[in-house]
Amino acid sequence: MTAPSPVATDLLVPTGGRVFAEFDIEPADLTYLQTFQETLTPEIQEWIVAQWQAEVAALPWFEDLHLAPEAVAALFATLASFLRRLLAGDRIPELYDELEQVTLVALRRGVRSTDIFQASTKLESVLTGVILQLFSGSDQQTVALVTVAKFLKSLLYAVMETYRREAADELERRNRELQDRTEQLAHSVAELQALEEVLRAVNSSLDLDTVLATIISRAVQLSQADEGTIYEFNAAEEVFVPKAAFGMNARRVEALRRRRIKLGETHLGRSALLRAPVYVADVQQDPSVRTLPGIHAVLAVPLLRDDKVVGGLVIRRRTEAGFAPTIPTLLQTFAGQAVLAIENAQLFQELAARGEEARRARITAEATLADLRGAQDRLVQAEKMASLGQLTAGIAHEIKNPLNFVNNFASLSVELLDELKETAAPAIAALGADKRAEVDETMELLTGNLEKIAEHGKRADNIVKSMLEHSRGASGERRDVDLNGVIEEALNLAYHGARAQDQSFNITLERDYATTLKPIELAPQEMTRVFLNLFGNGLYAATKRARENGDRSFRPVLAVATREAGDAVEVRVRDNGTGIPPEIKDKLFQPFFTTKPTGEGTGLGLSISYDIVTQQHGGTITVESEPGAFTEFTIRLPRQ
Amino acid sequence: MSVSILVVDDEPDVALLFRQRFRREAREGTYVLHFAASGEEALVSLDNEIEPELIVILSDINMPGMDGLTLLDEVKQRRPELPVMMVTAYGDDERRRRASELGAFEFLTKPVDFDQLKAQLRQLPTASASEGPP
Repeated sequence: MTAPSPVATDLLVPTGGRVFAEFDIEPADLTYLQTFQETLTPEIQEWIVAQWQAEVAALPWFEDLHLAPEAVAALFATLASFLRRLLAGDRIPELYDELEQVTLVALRRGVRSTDIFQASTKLESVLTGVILQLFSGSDQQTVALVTVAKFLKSLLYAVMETYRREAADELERRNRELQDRTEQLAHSVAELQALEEVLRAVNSSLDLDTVLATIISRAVQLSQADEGTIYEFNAAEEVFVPKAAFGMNARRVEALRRRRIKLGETHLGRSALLRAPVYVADVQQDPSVRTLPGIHAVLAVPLLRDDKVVGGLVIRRRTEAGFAPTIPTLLQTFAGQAVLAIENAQLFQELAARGEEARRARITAEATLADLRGAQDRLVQAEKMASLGQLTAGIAHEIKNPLNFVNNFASLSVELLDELKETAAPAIAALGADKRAEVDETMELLTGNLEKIAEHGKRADNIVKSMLEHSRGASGERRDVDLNGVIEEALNLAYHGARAQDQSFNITLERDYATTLKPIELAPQEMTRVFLNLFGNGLYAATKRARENGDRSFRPVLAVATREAGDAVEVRVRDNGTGIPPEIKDKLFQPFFTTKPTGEGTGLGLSISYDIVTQQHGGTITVESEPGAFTEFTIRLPRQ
Repeated sequence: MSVSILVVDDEPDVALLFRQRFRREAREGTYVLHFAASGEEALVSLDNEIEPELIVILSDINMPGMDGLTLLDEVKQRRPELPVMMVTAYGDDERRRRASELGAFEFLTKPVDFDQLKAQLRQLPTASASEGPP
């Protein structure tokens, strides 16, 4: 006996000759089979069937097939039926056809081709054994029975193989299905990843360009397009402006920008009007649009916010195959993200602008507040000075008239006393020596007293005159002057004035005049008063320190400097004298405030200087000082 | 050859002071001093013809009632040729300017320098002097 080929692929094709060849069934065998069929009684046939079933069921490998009980029953029933019909003399090819139609349904899972081969081989030997036991008769009979056994084996094998093939097909189909689903899943995963990336970009980056670039690149890649553009809709000019592109060179993007696509124009404009995606599978076939070189499929999706068009997203494909049906929906998702991104960016810009606005407003407000505070301080100071000045002037006038009488009558009385002495001389001479001496002494005392009255009256008058300078108002004539010249003149005057009073007086004068100082309009006489005052104070303080200081190496210095300061001129007067204690710095410019001993200063010098600088010239006068080190006055005179 | 001077001031002691300051001139008969305590009073004196010939009016500016500048204006309307000297404690530009506009002959600030005043008075033209021999 020859083992059948394990690859009997054509078994299903009911072409008797080939099947027989495959299973070593000679045409001569069929003749024997025919003879055998004629000799079998129905009882013998049933016995063969029963014997065969029992033998097959008892096979140890049969169980290994793990056939379901109903499948076993169906298999046996079918095989028994065929065996019966075979033994009864049915024609083999017709049996085969039926076998193919009916049996496959009964045979199911768990069968490997090797098992089938083993099964069929075993079956053959079993059947051969059964038949030989039964019919150990003539050679012809034996050959016929072996043929039957072979045939049954081939039947079983064919059935099994058919099932195997079907199972393989099924498996292949399932594999394909599985592969499809895997691909779909993979695609979904890619989509999700892309969306996640876009989402992350939208949420993490407030740079609109970056976000839109991410969106368009992912949209193009995921939809297997070749290029794409995101437009923003400029509502004012009603045109779509490209904001981000992918797969396009700068020249083409620029061309799109110049194109100034309006609502209703191109796929983009149409999709905006429709508020829905517009898809054209091949624009080369569409006469309504300008031909896009090399572009076939175009898909445009509007960017909508509350049904308002804020832009558009367009992807294009260079190959003739169109986009997959799911792409428009996918693209709408991307469009949604783009809208969010644009919205976020706008919100952020507004927020940033408002923040910046608020910051600027705050800075301005703070500066204004500081200015106002400064102005308020200056106003308060000026008001104080002005009211003090007025008060001073008022008092001065009230005092001036009675003082005039005091002075006048005092000097008159001196004259009258002289006249009296002259007139009374003979009478006095007639007096006794004692009386005369007494009268003379009294006369002398009276004269002395009157002179004292006149002297102190004059002093009071000087004070009053100084006080009245306050109320004189802007009387000084103004003209363009060389400020350095005015200062130099005042400095010489002050220096020589001090020298005249004290021969031992000595001080180093340092001059640092700006050489390029342009003429400035001011009241030279008034400013000379100011400088005389400041220089006088400086000289006084520096020499006072020299006097009080035991250190002989101390050299008193008065330094004067001028310089251009923008739209003003600045004068600095600095002495290295006794300095000003901080607690009296505020009172410095108040009338009658003086640190000099009684009689040496009126306390009006700085007060008058303050008025002249601030009121008459609209300038400022400030002081910096360190007790025991220096005092520096800074005058700032604005150019008118 | 006496001439008159009219001093206008609301301060009574001014009269006392002027009398003492001009006591020598009064004794010698050079000047006759007349006093008025207000502008109104001064105008009345003026209308009543002062004797001897009035050569100058010295007037304070700040006075209750008619002030010195008003008086000056009134005098100038009646006697445009009569010199009026304003004497005031307020030597400010505004008063100086007003006085000058109204035709004041001189503007003196208190305290009056009597030596200077006397020198100025000597320079004053008198009616008789102007009518003097050719």
